[in-house]
Amino acid sequence: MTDVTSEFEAFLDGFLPADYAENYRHYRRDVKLRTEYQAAAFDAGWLVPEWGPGEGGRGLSVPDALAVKLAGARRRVPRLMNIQGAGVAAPAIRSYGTAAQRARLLRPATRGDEWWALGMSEPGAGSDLAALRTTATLADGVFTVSGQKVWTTQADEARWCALYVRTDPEARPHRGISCLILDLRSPGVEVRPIRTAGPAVESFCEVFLDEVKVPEEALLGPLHGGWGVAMSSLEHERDMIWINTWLETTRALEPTLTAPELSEHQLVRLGRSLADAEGVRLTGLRTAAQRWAGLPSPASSILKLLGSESVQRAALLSLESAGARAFDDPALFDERLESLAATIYGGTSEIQRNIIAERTLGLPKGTP
Amino acid sequence: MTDWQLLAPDEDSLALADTARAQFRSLRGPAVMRAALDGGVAGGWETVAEGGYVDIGIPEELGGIGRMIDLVVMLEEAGRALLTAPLLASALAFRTQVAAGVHREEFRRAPAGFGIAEGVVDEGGRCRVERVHVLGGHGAAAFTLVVQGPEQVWVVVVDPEGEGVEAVEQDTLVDPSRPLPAFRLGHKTGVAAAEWRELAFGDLERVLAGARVCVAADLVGTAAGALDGAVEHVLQRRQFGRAIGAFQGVKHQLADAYTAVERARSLVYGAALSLDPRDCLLANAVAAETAVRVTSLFTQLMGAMGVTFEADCHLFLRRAHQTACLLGEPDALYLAAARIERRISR
Ligand SMILES: Cc1cc2nc3c(=O)[nH]c(=O)nc-3n(C[C@H](O)[C@H](O)[C@H](O)COP(=O)(O)OP(=O)(O)OC[C@H]3O[C@@H](n4cnc5c(N)ncnc54)[C@H](O)[C@@H]3O)c2cc1C
Repeated sequence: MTDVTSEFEAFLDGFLPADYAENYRHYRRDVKLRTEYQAAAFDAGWLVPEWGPGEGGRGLSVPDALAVKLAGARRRVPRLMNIQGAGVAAPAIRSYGTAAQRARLLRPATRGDEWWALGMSEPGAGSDLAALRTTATLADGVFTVSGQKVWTTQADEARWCALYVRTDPEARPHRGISCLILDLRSPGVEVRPIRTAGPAVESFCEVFLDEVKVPEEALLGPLHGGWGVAMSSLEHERDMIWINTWLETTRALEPTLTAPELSEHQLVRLGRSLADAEGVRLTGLRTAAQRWAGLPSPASSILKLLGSESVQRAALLSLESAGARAFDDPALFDERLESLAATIYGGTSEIQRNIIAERTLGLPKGTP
Repeated sequence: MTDWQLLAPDEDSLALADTARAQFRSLRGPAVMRAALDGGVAGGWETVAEGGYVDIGIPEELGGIGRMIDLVVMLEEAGRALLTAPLLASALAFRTQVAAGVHREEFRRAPAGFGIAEGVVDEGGRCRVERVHVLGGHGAAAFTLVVQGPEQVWVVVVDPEGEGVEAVEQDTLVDPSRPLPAFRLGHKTGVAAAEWRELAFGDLERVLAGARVCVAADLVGTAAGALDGAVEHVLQRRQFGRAIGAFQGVKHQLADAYTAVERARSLVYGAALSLDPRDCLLANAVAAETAVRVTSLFTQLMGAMGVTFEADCHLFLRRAHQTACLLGEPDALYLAAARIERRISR
């Protein structure tokens, strides 16, 4: 263990309750603890260790930062309450934001003081994000925005929304999109929560936009350059999401690992899921090592697909090997349901396969 | 916890892989395999020995060079090229000898055979095995055998020409280019071993760990070679006015195959660095399943051509199937890994 990870471990020892590991299942849903953890980790520079002091980090090298994140995963640090904020919006603001945007928005987004929503999907634009139709017209320094977003996670609790809108209806679909920073308290915004199939699926909403005024200063990145903002901010998340899916896979396996009795068939499935967990962890580390060494890392294209499907197999195994005990423990079904969402959000498994086939294997584009 | 930066092979490993790839390809594995199916004998030990490949992955104090990760990238190239020279058999034998503490430098000067079987070894080192398939069994100067008794395990090195060693089956039909002839040892009085070591049964997986990594690396190479062949074919073959690789039903299967190969490769590299028994069992199981799956897909995507003698895909399929169960079937390995993990967790 490096000095920096032992320092981080010491921070965790000081912060987390003594029975945290033992009662993780309970703490996993502890809103207060999760909120306080994010703020404390930010203040101590452990939240995004590779960023600078004051940004939630301490300027660590990539390997040291990764070591800290892995140590955190092993200790199962409390999950962020609003992942889109620190995980997606903050990196986008950091690389694309103006000085004023960074000064106003970056810290509260990363620390969790202000929540963010991601306004990408629409009723007619799911996997085909470039088909989005919400429009914004710029006149006299103000955008006027009308349209509808859907599946917008936590829009009902968020202050801001990274809203993807069509600003150039004449251009090719990818080229006419911009990203606006929408204050969700603006007049003309209506947020309607959608009831999810179970409590473990994070709440999401419909967002209706009726002639909403957004100042020109709230444009994030170049005008008509929103596609690039979307891709790079999702990439940031994609590079690290495997740590989460690895953690979730191992966690989902825990009841099976400690179950009093398993059939040989269940043991074989358990072995397969252990290989899944290791496959995710080692592929994540291997591609990180390649990037760090300046080598190509084509296998990073499999991380989303492999991670989400691994979580899913593990959750299925733990539900099925619980047998009738699952009737008294709704968490097992909830987690199974939650795992089914993982192959949909952030680009479905089918879309991931298209990307791997076309970009990594070089097969022809398009989907006849 | 292994040092993750080693998971990306460094310049030395990549250079070794390049050299091995060129040299192994020049040995024309597919052509030699076809000839072997018609009764030809596949040789090639000299090239492998002269290239210094048998010293890779052997500790320096035993005269070796290179690290486990080098051994892995080299064997991957061997699998990819469908190498027929007895390199895998030698790697299995030497790694197992090293793990059991019975390795001698001179063993590496001649081709080796390797096998696992049930049997017994008595206190004087006399070994009795009813039937053992020996990889590299034809032409080997020594057999390294892992003999599993009811309560203990032995690693023995025996002379195939020695008294009491009988060949009971010469041919292997699946992949005769890398034959697995069967032998009976010491039917009456036992065969005297040149080296032997008795181990507790619980040490079996520790001793086999390196061998599992070698088999897994070879299988990942076979799978990767089949994937390359399949991608090349679907870009070329046209139906309905376009390359068949444009069809999503084809694309998605290849994307899954790619994912499986990369996942297997990650597990093999991880296991090579840790040599932890659980990791090695998982890497072996995953590589075996992946090789069978991807070589089968290669055959499917070839259409009718896939079941001709001419096409390479049946060669990949043969190699994958024969190698996949060399150190146990995947299900048995998953089961063993799960048992280890459950012991740790409870
Ligand atoms: C829990 C959850 C949270 C979410 N949070 C957000 C959020 O905060 N903000 C946001 O903008 N969006 C969010 N989404 C939406 C998510 O991004 C979309 O669901 C996703 O992009 C898929 O779009 P869709 O639901 O319209 O499905 P569709 O695109 O209609 O897909 C339906 C099915 O068709 C398949 N399909 C579609 N196109 C192809 C193709 N070309 N080839 C093969 N198969 C295809 C898909 O793989 C899928 O199986 C969230 C979704 C979930 C489940």
